Amino acid sequence: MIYADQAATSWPKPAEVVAAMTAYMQEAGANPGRSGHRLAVEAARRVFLTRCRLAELLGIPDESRVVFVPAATWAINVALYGLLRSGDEVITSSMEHNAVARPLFDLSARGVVVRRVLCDREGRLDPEDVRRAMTDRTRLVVMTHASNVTGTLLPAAEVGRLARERGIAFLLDAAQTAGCVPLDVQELHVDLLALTGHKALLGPQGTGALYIREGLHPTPLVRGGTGSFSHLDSQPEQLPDRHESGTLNGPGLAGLGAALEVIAKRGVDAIRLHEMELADRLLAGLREVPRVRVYGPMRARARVAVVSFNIEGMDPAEVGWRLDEQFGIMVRTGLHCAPWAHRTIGTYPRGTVRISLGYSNTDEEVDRILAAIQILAGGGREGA
Amino acid sequence: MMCVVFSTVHEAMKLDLLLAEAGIKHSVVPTPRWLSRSCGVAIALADGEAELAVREAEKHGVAIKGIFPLHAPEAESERVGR
Repeated sequence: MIYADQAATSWPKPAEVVAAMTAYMQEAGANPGRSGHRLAVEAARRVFLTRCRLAELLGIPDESRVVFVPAATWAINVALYGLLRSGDEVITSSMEHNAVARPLFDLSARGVVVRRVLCDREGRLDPEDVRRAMTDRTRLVVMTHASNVTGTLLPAAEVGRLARERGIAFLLDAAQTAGCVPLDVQELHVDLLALTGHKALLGPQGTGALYIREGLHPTPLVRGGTGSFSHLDSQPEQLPDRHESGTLNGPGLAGLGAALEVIAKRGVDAIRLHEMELADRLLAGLREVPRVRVYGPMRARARVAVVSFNIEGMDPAEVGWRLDEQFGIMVRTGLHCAPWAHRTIGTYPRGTVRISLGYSNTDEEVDRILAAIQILAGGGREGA
Repeated sequence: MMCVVFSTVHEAMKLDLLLAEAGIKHSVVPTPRWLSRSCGVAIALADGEAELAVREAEKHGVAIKGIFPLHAPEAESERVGR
């Protein structure tokens, strides 16, 4: 069995993550940040540690600016609905995931002007095109750090610099890069960073975060109990409470804390190197298979280890099904919740087969994936 | 005994960790109702440790709402705090 769907969620999770979640539920499991008894305090301590570790990973000096949310999609919604008003302009790319596309579509019906910058057929973005789209009404630029379809890395630092020079806020969607690409919010001139805990950060599903730079005040998406300022009818002003109403995913965040320790030990640079090696090996092999068309940049340096391809004349859904049924190789097929990206690279509406690799995948697995694709494309021998 | 109170549990947990790292004896307690400033948890310390705790908080930018005696004064009186 080969798990090649890391872009959907990472699997397997490190044993430390599972252990931390079980330990939390058995030893700490009360409501973090609510009651004052020992079990609640222990729960709050573990959540706090996770927040500190995440802030450290991302170069964020004040961990209270890291707000926990259920998913990257949620983080993106908090940022977009929290900052954009009728009459504002927002710039985005044509490679965005529906987590960005759908809120922007809705906001455009509420008077927000959405300017979508076209990427090229490999999913690359020219920062000059972003600059040309800026007007004096541009409030925000929102961009994915890496495409979940083609793996293309977009020029975050350059776009961030352009935005910062003009006092425009920059929201970076790091769903596909946090944990596997070095990320420093100050180096990338990022004002808001949306990320998920359950992909390359190796944490459980149901965890995510939004970094909000000091000086930005998005309106809360959700209001309710925060365990603070309880005498007030209004939502507290202070972060992180302002955006953390309701009970946090305690077990999930405990697991994420353990995952962050694993990542820190391995080092994001080492993880990046390993994934680039896997991607290079996969791309080199796919290039040799007749009838296979690969999308996105052919050099690993320009991408993350997310590779979309199609076999000429075959439905991507059938390719994916056969890879699973005949070879035990798990991939994702279709539009990957990113129709804009498929329109950009020319694979709409059929979509693609997507192989996405991570730290736990090996060279040997890549070779087996290539052998399977050879067979399906009609070039290899079954049972080889 | 003195009691440090906070706006949010985040700040309470931050000082809790700092005091543990600095070896300053303390406990996290439910905020006395007569003191309630916002956050439901407070940090209790011996009188002598309070100044050390304040210094740790200032050094690391932890916002404290105030420091008060842990137990309410017996008679109604003016509360003095930071």
